[in-house]
Amino acid sequence: MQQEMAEAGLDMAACLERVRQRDEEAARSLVRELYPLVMKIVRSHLPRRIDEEDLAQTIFGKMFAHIDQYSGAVPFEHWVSRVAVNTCFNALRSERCRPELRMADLNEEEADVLENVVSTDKGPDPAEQLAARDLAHKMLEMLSPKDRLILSMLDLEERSVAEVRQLTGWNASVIKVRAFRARIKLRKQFARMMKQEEI
Amino acid sequence: MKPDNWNRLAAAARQAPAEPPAEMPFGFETRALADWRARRGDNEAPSWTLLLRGALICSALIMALSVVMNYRSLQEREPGADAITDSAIQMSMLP
Repeated sequence: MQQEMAEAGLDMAACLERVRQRDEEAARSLVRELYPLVMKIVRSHLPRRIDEEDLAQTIFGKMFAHIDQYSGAVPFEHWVSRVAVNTCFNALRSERCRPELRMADLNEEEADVLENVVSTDKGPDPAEQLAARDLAHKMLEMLSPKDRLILSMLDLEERSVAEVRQLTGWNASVIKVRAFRARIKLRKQFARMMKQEEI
Repeated sequence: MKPDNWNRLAAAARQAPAEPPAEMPFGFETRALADWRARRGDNEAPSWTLLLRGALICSALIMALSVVMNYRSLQEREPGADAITDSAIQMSMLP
């Protein structure tokens, strides 16, 4: 039966009904089906000192604990995404301190990316894209959890404000204002780091 | 206007190849289900706790009610044999 479900694609409504009736096989299928989605969100917003598997397990725990509250108004994957984003946000909030990023903290590739971004108009080379992604995440870590989450979704995942609003439940104008201010903070951070480099 | 540094960095970061899809580690679903089972157990525990609490309250009420109902008889009960003997000894020893 499990294999049939996997081959034919999971019938979400039927599976949820069985999970509500405490069917463990259905719960197992649900975890297997949603794992890639949950991990994608976890990896995008993972706090520094938390293991991604632990966070994913927490998300699945919350999903099962509140599954009776799912009304079916939105696709179940959207509902789980929202649970995942909120869990990541809470984990980010529990981080007491945010690191101050200095040039000395960057590896060679990241330092090259930074110099290319600041000094040339075209930005980093294609070969430096991975380093650019790492540097972008490091810079986002300096922001407050809310700003980090918003900017990560808007600028790295290219989500619209409406999507961010749907996933977080925050007001659209709050999202826009926070994104604007966060970008200013990052701009200042770029300037600060380049100043350190000159010294 | 010079393009923003963050925008350029974010654009480059977006071009980075996507990470390979996450493979579920061995035993993950078992752990997730164990967690679910444990939470269910926690949720079921309060019903037992409520039942026990109810039983405790009921028994306390029954005890209080029986004391109230028997209060008069407890007050008016005849003194015991020891008390009568003690009283008789005391009377005989009086001058």
